[in-house]
Amino acid sequence: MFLEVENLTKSYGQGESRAKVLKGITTGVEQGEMCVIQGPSGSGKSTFLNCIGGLEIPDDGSIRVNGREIVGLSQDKLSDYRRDELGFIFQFYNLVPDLTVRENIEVCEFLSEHPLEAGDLMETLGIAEIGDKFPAQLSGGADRPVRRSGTR
Amino acid sequence: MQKVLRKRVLRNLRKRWGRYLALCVLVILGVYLVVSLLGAAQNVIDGTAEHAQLNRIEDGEWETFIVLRQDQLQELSDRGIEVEEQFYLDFPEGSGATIRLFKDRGAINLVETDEGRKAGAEDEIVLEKRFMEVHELKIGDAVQIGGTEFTITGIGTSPDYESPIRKMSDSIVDSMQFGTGFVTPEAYQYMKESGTSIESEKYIYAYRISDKTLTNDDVREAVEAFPFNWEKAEDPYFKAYMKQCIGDAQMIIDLLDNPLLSGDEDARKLREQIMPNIHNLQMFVPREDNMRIGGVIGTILAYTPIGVVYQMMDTYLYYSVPVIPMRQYAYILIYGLVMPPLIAVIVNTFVIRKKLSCTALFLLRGGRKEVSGKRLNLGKLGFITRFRIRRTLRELRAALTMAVGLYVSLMLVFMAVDCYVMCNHVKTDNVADTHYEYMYLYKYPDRKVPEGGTACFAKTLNKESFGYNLDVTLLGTDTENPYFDAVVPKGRKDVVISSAMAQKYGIKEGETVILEDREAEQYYAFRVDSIVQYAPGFMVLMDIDEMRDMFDEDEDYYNVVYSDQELDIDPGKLMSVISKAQIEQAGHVFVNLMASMVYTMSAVSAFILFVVLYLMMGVMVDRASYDISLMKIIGYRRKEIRKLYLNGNMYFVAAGTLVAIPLAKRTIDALYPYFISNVACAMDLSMSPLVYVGLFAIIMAMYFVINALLVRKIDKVTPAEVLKNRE
Repeated sequence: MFLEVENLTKSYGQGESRAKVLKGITTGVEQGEMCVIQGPSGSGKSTFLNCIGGLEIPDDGSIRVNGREIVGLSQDKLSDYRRDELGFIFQFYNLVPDLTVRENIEVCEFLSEHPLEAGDLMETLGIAEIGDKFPAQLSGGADRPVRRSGTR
Repeated sequence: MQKVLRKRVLRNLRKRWGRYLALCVLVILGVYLVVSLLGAAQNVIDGTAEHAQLNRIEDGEWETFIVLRQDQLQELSDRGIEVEEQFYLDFPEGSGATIRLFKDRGAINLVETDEGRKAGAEDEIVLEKRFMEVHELKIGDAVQIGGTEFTITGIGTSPDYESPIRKMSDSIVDSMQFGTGFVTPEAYQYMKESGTSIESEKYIYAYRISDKTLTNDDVREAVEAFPFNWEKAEDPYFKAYMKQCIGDAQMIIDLLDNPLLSGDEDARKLREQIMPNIHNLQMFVPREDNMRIGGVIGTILAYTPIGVVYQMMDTYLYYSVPVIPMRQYAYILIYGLVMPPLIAVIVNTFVIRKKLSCTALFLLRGGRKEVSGKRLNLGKLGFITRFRIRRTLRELRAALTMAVGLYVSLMLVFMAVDCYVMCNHVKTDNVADTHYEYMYLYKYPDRKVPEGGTACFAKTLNKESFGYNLDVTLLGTDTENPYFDAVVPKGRKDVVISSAMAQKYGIKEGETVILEDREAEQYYAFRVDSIVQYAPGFMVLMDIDEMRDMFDEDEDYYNVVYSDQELDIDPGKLMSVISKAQIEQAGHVFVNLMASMVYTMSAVSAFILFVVLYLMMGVMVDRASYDISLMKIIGYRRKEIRKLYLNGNMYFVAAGTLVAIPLAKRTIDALYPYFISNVACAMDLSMSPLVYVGLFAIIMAMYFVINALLVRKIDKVTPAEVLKNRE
């Protein structure tokens, strides 16, 4: 398995308000496999993905990506993990507001070992004409390709 | 609803307790400085004035050479001038100091005892407060005065000796060397007859004007009208001097009485002028202006001391004043209590109004406004550089606020530093510019200049500085004087002024300087030919012959002698002797006096500087927390994030400091004359460039410390922060 999750547990809150969101999840995903996680609101979908992405620290359990255990890694190691192994597409409007569209793409390009040229990428995605605009100037749908192009 | 919102306030406070604490400390320090400054000054002014009135401070005093008769005193009283004899004798005290002994007063300049009681028996004494403190004396101790033992019954102060100096020419209070004491009339008489006094008795009369239509000049005229027989004076030096002067005048009269001149009209007129002057020499000794309480309080105020209690401690440690009960002043309380929240309300009103004027959608989208320079096309610059420029433009307002904060804090720093620098210059320059070892000021100059001395003619005039009349010495000398490195021009018009005077009054070469002779009610205007480096005092040098002529003195008249070694001059003929060693000592006292204020202000201003920097940089980091979180998700390491979001601030801070330091220095230098407007000293505020370098280094060091603190803040920003953003 490329991704192996074993007995993953995560809770939020303290004392009486403590809520167990992930209750010992065990699953796996093969390399090249596409899977969909579905469930009602509040069931723990985002929490599960956040834990895999190294954005949340689980209470218990193990997550191995490409054979590498990521639970217990330091913040910098998790950053490296996200940089090298993952790509994110956010549900919501998550661009750096002070940077242009091109510069938001370059934020990711700067980290990549083999980056795609921002100009070519924008042409491919049909957003070249908005390259010098700021996120606040974009319409609701126009920012989606920008977020996709930021993914490595 | 209010309850719900209040919970939010508390949560906010808990979350950002560090920043709110820093802000709180900043406000406390700022208000503390202002309130303590004002409070101390107001308490000292009002307290000493109140005590002065309570203790019936004199309106003035005069000295005579013979005791006035009762009928003369009654005549003055009938005219509405209350007079009290305040004769004194100076005695050596057991430790080597000098005690000025007075009879206890009954009507004017009353003695107030802080502790104990007034002297009741012949062997009892009330000693002056500061003298007792520095000599570590207490009530019940015995003290030797003129070989006679007294028991101290009280610790006292008197309004005429709040600045307990022995002579008006003394530049500093030295309570180790001089103090006053008050005894019973019987004890005073006993000490007078003991013959152990240092000098002859001084006949001082203090007066208060009860008829408000009278002026001090009226009093002077009334006293000067009394006939005076100089031969009845007890001061032998005065008598010798008078004989000398009379001899000269008589010689002229005899000459004028020469039968060959009897028909000469000019000779007759000259004779008529001279004769009355010989017999009306009541106030012949050069009178010293009585600068007591007003100047003292003004001096204290001028140094802008801090801390009500602390500053009042500084007052008590130098001046001899009774304990002043702390008083609260409504306007100061209002300032301290009302001003900070008022400013907060005003600022909040502007900020909230601005926010409320935004559209709801704009606020929903984070409420981040476009900065006009944000659209700048940055072309082919590298990513990091472009990123930093965007951030700079984003945080420009905060950066400018930080620069203003730096400027204001640095002004506080320079207030303290300028004070230290000025005092230090006074200390070092006074010694460096004093080329003589001794300066002898004469009461009764001899005909012949003592061997080894250089004679000059000195007259005290005045020049106004921001409403205060400061003494300026007009010194008649010639170019042969080895003690002043000046070429004194011939003629009456051109003069050389000291560098101290040039600095204080901002006078340049070629400009006109006007001096006032307050006694003669006359003004003298001179043109400044050059400026001589001389820090110890305000001096105007002119040709001695011209000066003698100007003031109708004999062609060989002098009243001050400078020398390299100690001269054998009878002390009875002298008003005072000032040595270079004393000048050096005065400089040290000056610096020590201001040291505590300088240290306190420096510490407080450094703390304010630190807090301002911390708050401003903290605000910049807070505003970037969303961005930082996003960068962490994307995969930026902590070091890379610090480089993007923190290290760029260094250029802000460095640039802001480079601008703020000289600007703050110039501002304070321009304001400093107002702070010390009634202090007669040089005002050299120049500093070594190393001071500026040192300040810059300290501020950058503060920046790095704050940076280290903020790194921890950045590290605490979690990647999940950005996921809380919902549209």
